[in-house]
This record gives sequence, C-alpha cells and structure tokens, in this order.
Amino acid sequence: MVFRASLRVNIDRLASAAAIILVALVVELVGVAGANAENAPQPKSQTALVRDAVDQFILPRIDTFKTRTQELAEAVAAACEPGDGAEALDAAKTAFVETVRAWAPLDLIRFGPSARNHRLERVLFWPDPRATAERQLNALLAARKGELLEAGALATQSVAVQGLTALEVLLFSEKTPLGSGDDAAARYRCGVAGAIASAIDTVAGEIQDGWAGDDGYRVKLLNPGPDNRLYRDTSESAREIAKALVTGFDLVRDRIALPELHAISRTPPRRARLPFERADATGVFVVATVGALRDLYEACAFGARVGADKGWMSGFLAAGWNGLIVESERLDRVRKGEIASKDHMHVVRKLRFDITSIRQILVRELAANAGIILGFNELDGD
Amino acid sequence: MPASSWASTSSMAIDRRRFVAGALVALTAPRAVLAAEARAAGHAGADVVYAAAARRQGNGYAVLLVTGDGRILREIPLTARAHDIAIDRARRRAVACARRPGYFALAFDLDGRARPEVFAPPEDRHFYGHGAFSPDGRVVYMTEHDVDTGEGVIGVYDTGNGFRRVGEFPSYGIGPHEAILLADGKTLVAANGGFGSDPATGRESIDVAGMAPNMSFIDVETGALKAQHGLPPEINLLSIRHLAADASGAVWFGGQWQGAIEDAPELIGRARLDRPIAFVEPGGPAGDALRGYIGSVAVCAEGRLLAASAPRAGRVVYADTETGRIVHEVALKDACGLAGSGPGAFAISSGHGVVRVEGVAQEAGGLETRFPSTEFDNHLRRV
Repeated sequence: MVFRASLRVNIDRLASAAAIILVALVVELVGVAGANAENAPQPKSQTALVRDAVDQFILPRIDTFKTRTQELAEAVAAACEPGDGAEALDAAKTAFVETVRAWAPLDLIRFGPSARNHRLERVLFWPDPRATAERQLNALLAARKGELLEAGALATQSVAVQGLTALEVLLFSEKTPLGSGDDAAARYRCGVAGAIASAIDTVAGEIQDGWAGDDGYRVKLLNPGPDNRLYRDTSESAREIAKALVTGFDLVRDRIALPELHAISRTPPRRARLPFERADATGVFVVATVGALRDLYEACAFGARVGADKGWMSGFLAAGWNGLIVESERLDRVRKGEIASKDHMHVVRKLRFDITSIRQILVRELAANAGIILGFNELDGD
Repeated sequence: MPASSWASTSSMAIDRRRFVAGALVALTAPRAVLAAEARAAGHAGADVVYAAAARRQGNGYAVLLVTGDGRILREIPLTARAHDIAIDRARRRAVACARRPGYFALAFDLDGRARPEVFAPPEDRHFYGHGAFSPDGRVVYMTEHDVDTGEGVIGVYDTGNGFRRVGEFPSYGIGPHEAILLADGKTLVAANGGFGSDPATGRESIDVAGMAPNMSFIDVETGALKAQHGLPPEINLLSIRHLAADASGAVWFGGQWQGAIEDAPELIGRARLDRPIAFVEPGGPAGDALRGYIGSVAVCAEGRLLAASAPRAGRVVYADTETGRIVHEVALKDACGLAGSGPGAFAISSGHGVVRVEGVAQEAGGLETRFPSTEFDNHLRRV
C-alpha cells in the first residue's frame, strides 16, 4: 500500500515535474518559434496593463454581452408569439447559446459592478449541485402568480430563478417546448421565460452602466491614488486584473476539469454535470472561457514577462496555451463519445495539466516579473 | 513520455483518502528524529514554538513546527494542503485539518513520540478545515459538510481509538468553518459561514446570494442548540468564519465579505451566549480598507487584545476587547496566521514565509524572521 501510494504524486508536484520533462521536448518543438524576437510581445507597464485589460478586454465584452441579452429577450418574446413556433423557438435557442458565449469571458471578472447586487449569480447560478434552479423554477410555475411577470418583479425572487440556468430549463424543455400550447400553464411558462430574459438584459445593462461615467468603475480602476478607497496605487489595480485572470483558471479547473475528472475516474465511471448541458452549450462555454483567458493574458502582455534566464518558458507557455485551446475544443466531442475512453481521459487530464501549469507560471513568474506579487493567502485563502 | 506523466494524475482522484494516508506514513517515518532534535534545542523552554500548515519549495505541502527565531523543528510532508491545526494541550497532540473541501486530517504527537495517524470523514462528508479538542483530549470535533443535504455538521472523533468517528451533531447552519470550545468545556461555538461547497466543484461557493451566516452555541453533550446569533439581511454576505474567545468569554469573529469590496461592512465583531452580534467600534480601518477579508483572529495570552489579519490588504489590526475599539495596526504583506505569543503580544505568519513576533505596545517592529522556500498557510498556533 505504501508503495502504491508513493507512486501517486501530488498533482501540483506532478505539474512541475512534468513541466520539466516537457521542457526538453517543447523547447525542441516550439521553442524556436516561441523565442522569435520579432513576434515577441513587449512588456507593458502596470498602468498600460490595467488600461488595456479594461478597454480592450472587459468593456468590449460587456457591450457584446448587452447586445446578446437584448437579442435574447427579443427572441424569447418572439418564440412566445402565435405563429411559426418551431422556427422562432430555434432562434431563441440560438440567441441563448450566443448569450452563453458572450457571458463566459465576463464570468471571471468578479469585481466591480458584476460583484454588486448578486449580479454574477443573477446571470449564472452555478454551481447548482442540488438542481436548486430547476426546483425553484418548478415551484414558481406551479404557483402561477401573475404579479411575478410584471417588470422587475422577478428581481425580488431567489437568484436561482433569475438567470441563464433557469431560462435554459424553459427554453430547452423537450417535454413542453416553449410557445407550444395555449393553456394557462403554457402562457405562464412563456411569461416567466420572458421575465427571466428581461431580467438578464437588465443585469447586463446595470453592469454596463456601472463601468461608465465619471464615477464609474473604469475611472476608479484607472485612477488609483490616496483618495481612491478601492485602489490606492497602480499596483493594486494591476493586482485586481491579475487576480481576475487567476480566478478564470480556477473556474475552469473547479467547474470543468475537476468535476469531469472525478466523475470519469470513478468505478464505474459517471457523467459529470457541467454548465449548459441541456442547451448543448457546454462546449461553447468552455471554449469561450479558455479563449477569454488567452485574450486577457495577451491584453496584459504577460507573455513578455518571461525571465531572461528562463527562455524555455516561452516555448512551454506557447505549447500550454495551444494545448488548452485544443482540449477545450475537443472536450465536447469526447464527452459525447464512450465515457472514460482513452481519448476522453486524455483530454480531461491534459486540460487540467495545462491549466495548472500555466496558472503556476503566471502567478510565480510572469505576474511577479511585472511587479504583481500575489500572496499565497491573499490569492487562495479560506 | 510526457503523456504518461499527466495520465497518472487520475489515480489521485480515485481515492484521495487512501492516497493521503499511505504517502504520509511513508514520508513521515524518518522524521521522528527531528522531535529529538527539537527537545535538544530547548523546544519546551524559552523559545515559543508554533505550528502551521505551509507550502514548501513551491509545490509540496507540510505541517511545520517552527520557532519565532527562525528554526524549523519538525516538518511533516503532506500530499495536499492543510488549513488549521487543532491543539490538544493536555496530551501534547495536534490535528492538522485538510482545507475545504477536505478529505483527511493528520493527527500527530507534538513531541514526536508516536507515528502520525490519518483519519478521514465518511464518504458523504468533507472537512471544512478546522477542529477543536475536548479539554480532556478524548475527542476532537471537526467541522464538516453533509454533501447530500448541504447542511453543516460537527463530526466527533474518538482520539483514543484510532480517531474513529463516534458521532455527530448539527452545526445549525451551512458551511461551518472554525469551531471553538469555550472555557466551560461544554459549549462549542461554530462559525457557520453561510455557503457550502461540493466535492464535484471543489472550492466554488454554492448559493452565495442565499447566505445566512451565524454563530451557533452548541451543547456538546447533547448536541442541542443553546443560542444562535445571525446577521441582518442587508449584510448576509458577510461570511462568519474565524473565532477566538477573549478573557471575558466573549466570542470574537473575523468575517469575509462575499460581495463587492465597496459595499463591505465592518468585518470584526463579537457575541456571547446571551448577547447578539456587535461589531467593532467605527473609526478603525473599515471593511473596504481591509479588502473585505479577515484571514484569522487570535487573542493574546491574557485575553485583552484581539488581533485580526487582513492578507488582501497586507494588514493586521488589533482591537481592545473591553472597549471594542481598534487600537493599533501593522502592515505585513500577505499576513494571515495569528497566534497569541505572550501578554499583549502576537506572532504573525505570512504567505511570504515571514514570522513576526511583536508586542502591540512595542515601539520597534519586534522579531521578524523569514523562512526560505516557505509560504505559511492561513493559520498559526502556539504549541
């Protein structure tokens, strides 16, 4: 038993050990490309890093999300109009998936306007291990209270019934397709779906407004100083951005990689419950999240912070990011195939490996070299 | 090939309980010799000894026994991260608790007289990172999560019988984090943080918006609730997590705000069995200045002063428990672990490997030591 146990190496140690093993290969395979001086990113000052993260990453994605939520609200309303129900319902489903795609990059921005008034959970109630959203939604449908369909009324209810998790249940129901039937129950389902879509659009607008204007969060984040209660100097603003990126890695690990790995490693293997399965949008969510991580990483030019004595790291990071993108794109397909197949196991393990590796290098090397020291407890205390 | 290297990671997911136990026994056996060195170095004498979980050499985890002057007396390697260490002063033993969601606890003799023992929660439970010994050391109470119901539980483990689980009672809330036994030896106070976590989603918080944190005073003999103190609905996002009792018997807490920093209320307060929660007097650093987050709290040796660490702000604040006022503060990056080290004095540990011992009234900075390749985790305990 002791011998067997000793073979099982701690995952973080393993990441480092495997990183070292990989280095030789990686440097050989991609190191030359990674070290190409002409294409190498230039390091950014902390001020530029924060500004670009906000103006090139956060704000454009909030605008896109707001556009998508408005389209979703309109599409859900159209799906409930009498007429060609199936086509309109398909359009609403598409709008839902596009909203998921637009939300994924913002799910890692857990500070500022998104953090107020439960907005994160009012958009996406997750994790939901005991299917609270569906349970509460069913209770709400059964109670059929007309006043809950009035503008803004849903905001007084549990956050579990206000967001994408609840709307997914209604939009993707095979048993009772939205817009079908003309009885009171069907009309009420439509009313609730419309109210949820409107509520999401309202939250999107609140987040957008929260960043805008002279007293908006953009101004606070970009203007640190002694009078700024939130950010006293540039390093505090820069830490906020770096922490958001690290949070994004942790979300992919905790929401996707770990649940999937634990479930398929069991005997017999089980299906993990991941976000947006009913909408068949898990893959969209994962790919969009990983893509967002890379976009934010690039907006911050962290790749330019590899130490002069660690040239191998550029190649390793390039391979890691490439792997992460490939695995995120493959995950959906392998999950739909034979459970715990060789491919399935490989993709999930590799996803976790790449997340762990890049996160570790980011925290200990790249952010540190940019003057952003993220403490052990500050970053992941309890 | 690299592929096979990462492929082996799944074995850890298969049975975390067995994995941790096996590796610990294998790794800690040769360490018994360190205990002898510790005694030779005057471990029980003038040098105050502290216990803490830590990350070592960038990757591995460990429980460390250290002195304030920079010596590591003992190191017990761990294969996963621990959180707090419960101390049984009567029998000089300790239990290092795995951090949330935790699947192991390591019991060890402070003087190295016995091999460490590992125990685990039942299949449908996970640990939250804290535990408390009964005064006679016969049982240890562990904060736990019932995975099926989401409710908080206090697991009772028999220390004289291989740390077998012999019972449980409710924590009377969701997400019990720290639990401490009061001086009467019969009342356990549980800090129900208000949100749970699930094995399937690791450390992600479940239903933060629905939080209802509380301090529950529980009779350990009957498991009955003696008193419970909650927070007003407008600050239900303040997760009550860490506890310390002062000389008068008031139980102080440090909270962690789960909302936007700019909305953070005061984070430090206290309650008694018969008195509801009251916060520190205004005038000290407010919740937003402490970045909405208290990492740990401790009371000094004579029980008058309370220390609360704010690692995200790199600060430690001290409160006079009689007046409820913040009387002093110091800056230390990533400061989190706190232990009373003497009258009016505390030891602070940081994620950057620093241990600083200082008197609150002291003009100079106290004794500060940096432990190389060491990142001290959340808590520090005087041994």
